[in-house]
Amino acid sequence: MSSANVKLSSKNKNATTEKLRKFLTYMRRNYLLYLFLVLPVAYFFIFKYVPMYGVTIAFKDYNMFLGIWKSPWNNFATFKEIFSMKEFFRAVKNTFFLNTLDLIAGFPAPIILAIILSELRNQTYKRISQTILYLPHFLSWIVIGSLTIQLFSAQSGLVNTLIEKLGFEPIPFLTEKTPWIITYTLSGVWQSAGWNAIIYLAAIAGINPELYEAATVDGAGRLRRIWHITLPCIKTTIIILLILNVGRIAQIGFDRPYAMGNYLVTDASDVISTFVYRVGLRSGRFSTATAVGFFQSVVGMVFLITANYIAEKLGEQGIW
Amino acid sequence: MRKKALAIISMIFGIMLIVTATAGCAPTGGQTSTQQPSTGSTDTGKTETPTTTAKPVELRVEVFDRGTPGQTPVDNNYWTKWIQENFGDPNNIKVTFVPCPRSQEVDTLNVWMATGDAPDICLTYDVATVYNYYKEGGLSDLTDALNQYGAQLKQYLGDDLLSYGLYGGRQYAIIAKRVIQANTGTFIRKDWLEKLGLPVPDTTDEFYQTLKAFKEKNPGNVDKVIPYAMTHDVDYVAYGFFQTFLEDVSDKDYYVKNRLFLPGWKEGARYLNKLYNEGLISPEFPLDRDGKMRDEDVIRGYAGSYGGNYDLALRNVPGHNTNLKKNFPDAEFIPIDPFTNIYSGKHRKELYDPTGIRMIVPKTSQAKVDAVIKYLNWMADPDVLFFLQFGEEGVHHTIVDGLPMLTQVEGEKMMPSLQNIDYTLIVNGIYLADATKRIKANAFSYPGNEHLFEDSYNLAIRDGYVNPGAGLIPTDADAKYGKVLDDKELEIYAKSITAKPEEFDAVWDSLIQEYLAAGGQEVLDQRAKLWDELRGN
Repeated sequence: MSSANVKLSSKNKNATTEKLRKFLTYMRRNYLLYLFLVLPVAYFFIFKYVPMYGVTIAFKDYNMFLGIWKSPWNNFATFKEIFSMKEFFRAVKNTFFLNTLDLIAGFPAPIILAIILSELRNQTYKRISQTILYLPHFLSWIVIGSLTIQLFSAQSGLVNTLIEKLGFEPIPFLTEKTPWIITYTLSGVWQSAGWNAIIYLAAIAGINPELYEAATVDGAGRLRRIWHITLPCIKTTIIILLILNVGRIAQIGFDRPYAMGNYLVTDASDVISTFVYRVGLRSGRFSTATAVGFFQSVVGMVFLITANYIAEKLGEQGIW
Repeated sequence: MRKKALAIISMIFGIMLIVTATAGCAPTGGQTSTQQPSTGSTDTGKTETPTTTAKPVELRVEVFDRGTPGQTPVDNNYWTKWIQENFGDPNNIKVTFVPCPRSQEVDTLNVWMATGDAPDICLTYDVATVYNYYKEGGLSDLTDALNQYGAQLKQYLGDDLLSYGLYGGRQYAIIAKRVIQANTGTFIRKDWLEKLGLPVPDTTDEFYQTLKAFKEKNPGNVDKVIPYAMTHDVDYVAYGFFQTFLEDVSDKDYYVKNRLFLPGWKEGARYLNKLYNEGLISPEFPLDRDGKMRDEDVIRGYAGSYGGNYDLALRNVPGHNTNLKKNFPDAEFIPIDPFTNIYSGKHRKELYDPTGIRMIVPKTSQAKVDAVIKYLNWMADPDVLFFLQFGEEGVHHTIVDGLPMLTQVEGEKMMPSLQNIDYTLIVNGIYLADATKRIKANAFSYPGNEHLFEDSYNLAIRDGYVNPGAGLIPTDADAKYGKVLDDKELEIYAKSITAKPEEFDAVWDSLIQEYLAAGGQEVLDQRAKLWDELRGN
């Protein structure tokens, strides 16, 4: 019995030393790769994880002269305050609403665009139109914001001047809620569809051309080929991007709603980021701003995990 | 061999990682403690030993960088050298200027304060920011230094102005003197009036009739005539309309009910609502968040009149009159002041309080308050101030009718800002000891529009008064909700003025409720309480 025990433990010992040796051999062979990783890992650690301790000011009465560490804890007073603000909930509601619209209108657009582009035969035309389509991506929203006013203002905008010359009433693209939301959504599609299509184009380029040839031989038309080959082949890409987009549903950039918005449409245009800017930064209330940002991140995280979970349940590859 | 080198490199990386990670968390205490001994050395240096032997004290002064085209570096140029030679060297002080982009005044200051890197003299126009710093214990007390070294400065500023910087009876901020207190003005196309044979409007109602005539007769024969051009900043650019309907209230009420809740203010908005629905004001004014659309309408000759800063039409930038004349040689905007209060018949209007920029000394520079006050006290010398504002005769200015007229200087001796405002901290605007000369000298700043300046100024201060609460510290609620409520207020104007006339009351009242809920009520309560505490009933 005891001898058997000894044998077993020595076997165990052998196994662990064996493991260790294997590990060491592995490391000896590959340590350079790990060494290369030190810098990026250090970067993420120092610039992404270390600053996270700043989130504690959401739970403190932040006093900039005491610093983050010495400021006193405030017993969730910041959160109690923001949850009692009506404007906070309006901002949350608007963020979700505008982002959902963006998702509905903005998500399929690059897919359709990519498929149309990939079906083009004339390479020169294809390249030129692709470049033109993704150029808006490089314009800042501040520029687009003033462009929109030049084009769509009811008083002197180009589009409305045309509409008036044709004998119709001018459309209040920017000054009434519903038209504004449409302008906002479509400007987003215009700005980003071309750029986002690049990923899908790359995915489409990776499809085995033999599949198309076989389908053609079997008598499949263009639409059939798109439906039965292109779409299934880029399904994984679509789903991963969908998960990422759903994860971002609580996040909203500052410049777009700020540049496009005005006081007549604040009921629709005031989102979390503009709210944070107004309440937190302009009034120097950093605790409040951090608390709202923290809330936003938590909600975003929940959405991301949920979307990923559903995707995995449906038998798709998730992001982990 | 190679392996060893790699091992060393990886170790270096590891060490770097640890060092950088811990460096970020180092306490800022070390910095202040090293500054401590310098107080002693200046004090002794002043009383006994000759100053040349002591190590000079470094005085760090914030300076706005406005990015003026062609400027010399704001922290090292003709003027900073002059300051060093005339103030620094005799006092054994080394004056260093710390640039801050003009547009990031408060943001940069917040960062400096939070990291403990703030210059010894910090600048801001924002009263609430100063008060926040004071409340959080971030400012140095200047009282003793001011009494000891600031005789000339105190005399120049006067007790009234100094009192704006008192918190809890101690001097925590020095406030610059504002020469021009004129605030808002209104301008109208003189050539349009002449073409229609109309007089210069002298009451609110006459002004309304004039605007209607502009709309109907379109004297400029333009595509889309805008009788009164406005931006989203309604309470400023259409200020007179509100003043027309204001009832007289006690000083306390005037301070507490700031704008929106003053009896009559709503009627001003209702009047604008009427004008809007009759097509007399810019149809999309809420879209104009930076005044650019208004500027275009003015310069292209679409606008018949507009309001804003009392000298707006005269300014070189955006150059309303100057550029308008390029398009229409006969056109000109002239200052008017038609708004007449329906109760008193006066042309009442609120002026700026006599304060300019706020100078504060962060707690981290406690040891240098003496040097700070010495510097500002030196600047209060009329000769010094004159030189900093006007430079050398024949180079920076010429004497016209006994008044200094600034000339454009480029190159080494250029002034990086108008009248060197960023170096003449204690004054805002052209300052001459003689008050009437002051106004005349200011007219030189508007080449091509000099003839309009005196009228603009006089109309803008006619029946003017300073807000009785101007000297009070901001309440906590003001500091907390101020910016949010400012935004909310503009939203109220945008939505109520563009509403249908029959819906005006409903829109206004419901938005006022939102305003009160968003912190407005707290501001009203705290202001009333503060007034009772500090000024009695």
